[in-house]
Amino acid sequence: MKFGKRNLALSLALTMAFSALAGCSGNSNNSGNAKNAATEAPKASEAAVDKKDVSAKDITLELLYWGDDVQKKLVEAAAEKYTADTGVKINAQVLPADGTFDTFIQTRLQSGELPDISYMGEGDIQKYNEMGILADISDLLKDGSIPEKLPAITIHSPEQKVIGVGLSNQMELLFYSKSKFDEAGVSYPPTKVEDAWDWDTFVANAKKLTKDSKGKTAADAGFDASLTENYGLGFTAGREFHHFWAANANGGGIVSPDGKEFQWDSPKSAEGIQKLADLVNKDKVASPFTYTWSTGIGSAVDALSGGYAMAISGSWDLANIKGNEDIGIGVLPKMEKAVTMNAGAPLVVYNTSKHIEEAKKFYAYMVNPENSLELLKSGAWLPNQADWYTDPALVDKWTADLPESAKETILSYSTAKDAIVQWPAYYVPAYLKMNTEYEKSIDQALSGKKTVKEIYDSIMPAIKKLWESGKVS
Amino acid sequence: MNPESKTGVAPVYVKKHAKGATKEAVAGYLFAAPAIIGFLVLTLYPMLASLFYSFHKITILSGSQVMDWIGLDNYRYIFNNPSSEFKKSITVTLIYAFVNVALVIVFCLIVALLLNRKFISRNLLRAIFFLPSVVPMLATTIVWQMLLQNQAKGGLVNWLLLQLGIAPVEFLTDPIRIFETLFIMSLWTCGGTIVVFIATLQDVPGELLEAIEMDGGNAWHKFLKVTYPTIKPVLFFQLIMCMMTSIQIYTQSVVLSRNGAPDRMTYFINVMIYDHSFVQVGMRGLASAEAWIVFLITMVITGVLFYFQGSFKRDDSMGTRKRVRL
Repeated sequence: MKFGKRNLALSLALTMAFSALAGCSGNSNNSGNAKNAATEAPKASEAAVDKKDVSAKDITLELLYWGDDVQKKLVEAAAEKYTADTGVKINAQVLPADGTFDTFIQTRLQSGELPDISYMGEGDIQKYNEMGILADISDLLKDGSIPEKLPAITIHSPEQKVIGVGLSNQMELLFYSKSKFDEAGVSYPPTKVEDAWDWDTFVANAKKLTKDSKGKTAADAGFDASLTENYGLGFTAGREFHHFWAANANGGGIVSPDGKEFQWDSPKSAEGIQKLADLVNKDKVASPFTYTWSTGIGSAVDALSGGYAMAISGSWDLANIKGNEDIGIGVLPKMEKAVTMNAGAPLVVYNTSKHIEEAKKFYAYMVNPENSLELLKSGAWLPNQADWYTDPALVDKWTADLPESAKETILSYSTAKDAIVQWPAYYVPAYLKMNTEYEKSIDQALSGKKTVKEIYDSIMPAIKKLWESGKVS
Repeated sequence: MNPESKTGVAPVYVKKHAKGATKEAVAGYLFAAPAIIGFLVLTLYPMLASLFYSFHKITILSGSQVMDWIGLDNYRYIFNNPSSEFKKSITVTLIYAFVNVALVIVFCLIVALLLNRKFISRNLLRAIFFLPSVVPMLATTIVWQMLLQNQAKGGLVNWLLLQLGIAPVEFLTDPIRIFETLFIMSLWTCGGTIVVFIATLQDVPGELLEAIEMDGGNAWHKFLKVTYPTIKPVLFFQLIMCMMTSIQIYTQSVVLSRNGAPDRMTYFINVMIYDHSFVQVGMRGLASAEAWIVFLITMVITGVLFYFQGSFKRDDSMGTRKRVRL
């Protein structure tokens, strides 16, 4: 055979080598570096001018978001409707709702391929603002394209530009098991901010709800805390967000809403967090804090059907309690004040978008609660617009399927004055770094090894210095 | 027939041979090209780039990466700044790695020796020991977490302890217990090493074992004089590999805990480098410096192991005796 083994081998080797080269090179259109991103911004404005006559049908916007199957369906439906109405095509890409989203955005930034619009973690928005890639959307609020949103989820840059609006207004709530309360003879937690249990009542009730394997409660003599079978309370304290409310409730805080006063190191803030730690280590009514610190307690449903009578968790857990008659919702207990803390991932527009005007229009469409009605009805999201909490017709739109106690609690928080504290991640540029320093050490206090004051004394000078820098990096 | 004697074509033959050798060499290089290119592009270049990055502070401004040359500042920060967590992180990582290597090697060797004996359902047991290593570490960690977590969260082990009137154990939150959990998980997933040891044990000369038996030697003598000298090279290889993978521990920490809790005891070096590189802002240069120090530490550990490699070389007398016999 003329085409000998050697030639065959050579051909094969060449094929392999070229395929490897092809594999390494990737799509040349996709290659690039961060510099591309820098040059995209001017290009974007040029594009906006040059292509005014380009028909909407030629425009495709990329939306990057996270979510489960339900959310995916809703976002896709909203995107399809938008395309039908405007002709602008939407390439909606979903990612898992975990830490990989931020990594993915960073990778896209490095390759100069940022989407036009994306969800963004609350703690990341100031980071990306400092990187200079977020568009100012103040104009959308000024010209009425976006009706006024709740101040708690309207996110400003340090220069007071609006850089994002939360898609949802999430908040910390007290979930409880009605059957466990009935069994212990404890009345259900109140649903009105003004009726919130004071701290001593809360602890006393939590003790009645905490039981060891011999049936004794923490309020009984002879209770053995080492054999606790059912805890009065469980925390979802996977993040600092889940216990910061206590610092505010105790009359302290983290950083004042205007960003001008550092409150984190105040004795009242430390005392508020200490009260939470005491629930585990002194009062013995909550499972070891580090447990919840490390892994969370899972959804409120799992917690309450397991070994907890109450669970403090985010309002997103409302989506999991649908059809579960045993679960009720109440307001968090009061220390000096009855408050909760809010969160809610914002949607942002990137200034690198080649179709920035169209992207902003799509943005205004997406943050309209009407377009996330199914998520609002499920309880996974809460409306981001003030009138959706006060206008009875609008309230009915999203609360019909929620348990009555949930509806009352949410409306009470949303209408009571100063009952919702904004998560400082939204407005403190150095928050990520400050929180990293905090999380390094705070579990020693939450596990009872040291007091919160001892930890604060050692870490707060460094955290305050970071805050004073006023910078993310 | 010798062609040289008749036609004098020897030079042509040599030339042809040389040409053939070149062609073969080219073919060889081409075949190796994917691996070589892969190494250059995906390993060497990133390594050199990260070395370059380690002398910079890297931030992103107006969408573009800004690199400021800061010399050895990142390295100074790692060793001198009290905020640096490098020392604690590398310490917990190395403690985990050394203890884990010792446990895994000893455990796998013992299990392999047992599974190398002839008994009924031996293959079934081999499969049972191997199966967990097929499951991804992420899934394994989640399962162990579900088993060992607090009884109120449904932790099966603690629930059983509670039913027996025994106080549940904080497997996942106690700074020491969490290490025990990690070691248990590591042993659970070391089926691959067991399989390698079993394969190596097949190579142990049976006649020598019989000879020791006839000389009145016991199992320990057989292991020490025959088995161990035969499997030494594989043992060394497994030691190195296990050390590498142990230093690279990541998944278990991320799944079992957050922020290296409890008390930063699971803030392993790879978790910290990832955190600095992709979560924190402006710390990518620092992460590169940390990665290089870890690389150098790993090199030193490997170097020390190689220094002692002599004691891991296969005893040639085994082969000699075998050859003489043949």
